[in-house]
Amino acid sequence: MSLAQRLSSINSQFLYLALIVVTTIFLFPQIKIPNKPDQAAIDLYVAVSQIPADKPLLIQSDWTNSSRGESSGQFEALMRILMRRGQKFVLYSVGDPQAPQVARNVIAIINKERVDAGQQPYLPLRDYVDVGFLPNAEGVGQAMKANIRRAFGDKTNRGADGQERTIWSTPWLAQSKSVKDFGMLINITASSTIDVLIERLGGEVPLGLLCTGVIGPQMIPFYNGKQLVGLSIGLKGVYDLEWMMEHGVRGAQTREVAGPDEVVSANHPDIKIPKLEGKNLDRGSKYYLSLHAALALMIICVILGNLTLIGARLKGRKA
Amino acid sequence: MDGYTKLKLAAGVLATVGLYSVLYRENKFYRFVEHVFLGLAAGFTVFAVWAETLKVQWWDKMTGSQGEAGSPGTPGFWAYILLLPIGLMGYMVFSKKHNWMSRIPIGVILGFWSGQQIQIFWNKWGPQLNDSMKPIIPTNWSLFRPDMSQMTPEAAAVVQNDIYLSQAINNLIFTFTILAVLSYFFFSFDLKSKFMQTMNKSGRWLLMVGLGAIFGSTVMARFALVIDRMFFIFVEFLQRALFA
Amino acid sequence: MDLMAQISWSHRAGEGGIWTMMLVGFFIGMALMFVISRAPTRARRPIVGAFTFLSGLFYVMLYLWPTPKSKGQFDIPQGPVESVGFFLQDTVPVVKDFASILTAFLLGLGVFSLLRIHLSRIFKGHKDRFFSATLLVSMVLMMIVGYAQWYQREFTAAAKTTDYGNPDNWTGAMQAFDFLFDGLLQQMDAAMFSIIAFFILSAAYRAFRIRSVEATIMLGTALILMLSLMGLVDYLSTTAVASLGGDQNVLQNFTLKSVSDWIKNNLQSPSLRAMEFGVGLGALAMGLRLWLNLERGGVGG
Repeated sequence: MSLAQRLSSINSQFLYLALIVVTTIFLFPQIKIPNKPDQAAIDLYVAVSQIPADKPLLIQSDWTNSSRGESSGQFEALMRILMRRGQKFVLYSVGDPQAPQVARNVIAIINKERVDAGQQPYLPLRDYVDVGFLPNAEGVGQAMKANIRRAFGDKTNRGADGQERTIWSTPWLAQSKSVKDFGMLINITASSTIDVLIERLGGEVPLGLLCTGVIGPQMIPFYNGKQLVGLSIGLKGVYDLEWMMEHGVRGAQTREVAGPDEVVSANHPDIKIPKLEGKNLDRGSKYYLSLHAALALMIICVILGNLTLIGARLKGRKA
Repeated sequence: MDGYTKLKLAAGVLATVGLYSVLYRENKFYRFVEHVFLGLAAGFTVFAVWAETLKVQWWDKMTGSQGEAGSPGTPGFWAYILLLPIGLMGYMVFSKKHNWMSRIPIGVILGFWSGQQIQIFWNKWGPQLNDSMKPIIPTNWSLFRPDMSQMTPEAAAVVQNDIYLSQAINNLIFTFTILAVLSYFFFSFDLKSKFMQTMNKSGRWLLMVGLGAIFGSTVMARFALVIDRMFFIFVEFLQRALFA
Repeated sequence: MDLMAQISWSHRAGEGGIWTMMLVGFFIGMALMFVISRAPTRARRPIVGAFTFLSGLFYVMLYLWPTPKSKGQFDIPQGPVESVGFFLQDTVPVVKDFASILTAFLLGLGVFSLLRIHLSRIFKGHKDRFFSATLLVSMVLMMIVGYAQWYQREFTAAAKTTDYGNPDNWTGAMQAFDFLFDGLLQQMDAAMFSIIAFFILSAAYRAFRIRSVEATIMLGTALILMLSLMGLVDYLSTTAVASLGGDQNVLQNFTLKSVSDWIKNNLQSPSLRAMEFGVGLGALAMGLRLWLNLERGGVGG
């Protein structure tokens, strides 16, 4: 049997096993892989870091565990950034009934991490409000544009004192009468809910996006068209965010340099965002080496597959 | 880690392994886990639809709420009940005689969707069209933009605003790509003009660049999910829970 | 119109009147449903079309009618044009509610369908009845546990004084819900979607071949993009270019990241933009055809 024939008769199960083995083995070495964050991710990070502390954010969390490998890392990184900055936010979901519960679970994990580090946990009503699931993304977007208070309705949250109160009773939401009063709307999604937002709320509030690799390429034109202030795509996007949290960002013309790994932003000549104190490198850093291995396996497979094709063609010519 | 958390993780690992067993071949254990998954997902949807949506947006608004400690409360808008018969019409799909009525609630939802299309089209594509109008004639005939890191902010701003030759070429490529791909989509019938045939062929090739990028990014997304599963099994369960 | 103005659309909560009005409303709705069900065959398409058109008309009006900017809660409209503008803007959240509620009702359709199929399999003794029973048991279990823990969290006396955010305070139902949702459903959700990766790998090995110019371009771009996602490879390419010496301002344009960024910004972005623009135009045309009931085989039938 020729090499080409041998290669083309490899069992699928063998490839599956190879993928399991390489992704697992490379989860264990603790190697800091060098990184250059994408400009889109830098823009998102800078935009979030520059929102005034008194301006609340809208967080539309539409991911579920079907995209946990990417979205949970993005959401965790975002929560860490917001909580360390003391940024208040309104959390809601339109994409899937499971989405609010998944987001709550992550907030609980980050809260535990904060308590273990001797920090205050982030609490409903005091620090954020949880609107829950609102079906019909299109209608919700339209209603938010017309009247955000009525779009979210009289949803109540239970405060630390055990009392149930309407979300609009929180002092930090007192000035938020329209969607324009929010610092940014950030969507964490694996689906087209971001299209709905661009269509209905584009131009009303700055839109940021944390999306999966599947929809990422289709979102780049919207970032280039400045309809998104920035975006983080997939696992690479998670690592980008964690890298910027760990090393800080400076403008291309900022003279003060914090370190060799500090990220330089071409779009913001004179900014200086210092590194965030605390746990920054998490899921993105843990998964990134395995992603290298898996992508390398894919590239090898594609090359080998094509070699069998070329080999068969050459053999055909000789015959 | 307490016993309950270990048990929960073990159940998750068993379920993951059960679903992965289909990679070897279709088997009964896979089908069992698959049906547990579908059942739990359906059950959660039933629960969430009431608890997260209908209770808050329909029932509470319809029945109103009594105020506590002297607050006036909110009145009930009883007319919301009229949505129930409209919703029930959807279930007529199972009736042989009246299944046409199930199109009414679907028609209402599609009507809402279609009515929004005019507005959203411009909101979405207006900025995209605007961004596609790029200058293709350079204002500075040097090939590359010089390094700006050592310049004063004023000098950098001047350089930033200039269109260098490389930028103009990029913009030309950008514009050609858009026109070629649009031409490929719009003129999908048999074309006689040599120019249009070339445009269409270029459009098809350039579209492949976009699709190649989508492929690369999708591969990353799917691999990330596998990596996450392996992390769950080998690190979260085996390393941290079982052998900690 | 006078009659409509005299109807009170709201009623004080907690009084018998609200329940009476709801009951009356329900019977009126059911009566209308009955009347519609008697419609002759030739009237069915116009009826469905009328519902669709009126629903769409609201949003078309909202777009075309002059709407008030920065309208305050207690502002009074000046003249009929502004009155309609105020009405339209105030009605948007209500219409959103209508759409959400109808969508929620229709979600039940899927569940109902699932029940019909699997119950019939069980009662007809289908060979897969064990799996159907498994599905139904899981579904019912999740529903019972979900509602039980929700009731305890929201409506019991203990809920007012207990911090259920702390797992130490969980009741049995809460723990069971956590087990089913977080322990099983979420993990299976992640596993189910990750399986596709294996099939992509196998398919790429067997079918991603350079058989034509199109396939070669696609494969080449995919390989460059995949390599650019690997920070280590990007680092090596940057180091290699830096070691070449010469005019780095020019040479840095040829690192892996620069090349992949160039492809993204100058080829991928416009090609996908054009593709999506075509889809957007199609959606607009489809929207207009659906709204005006021109679509053959659409909701109008």
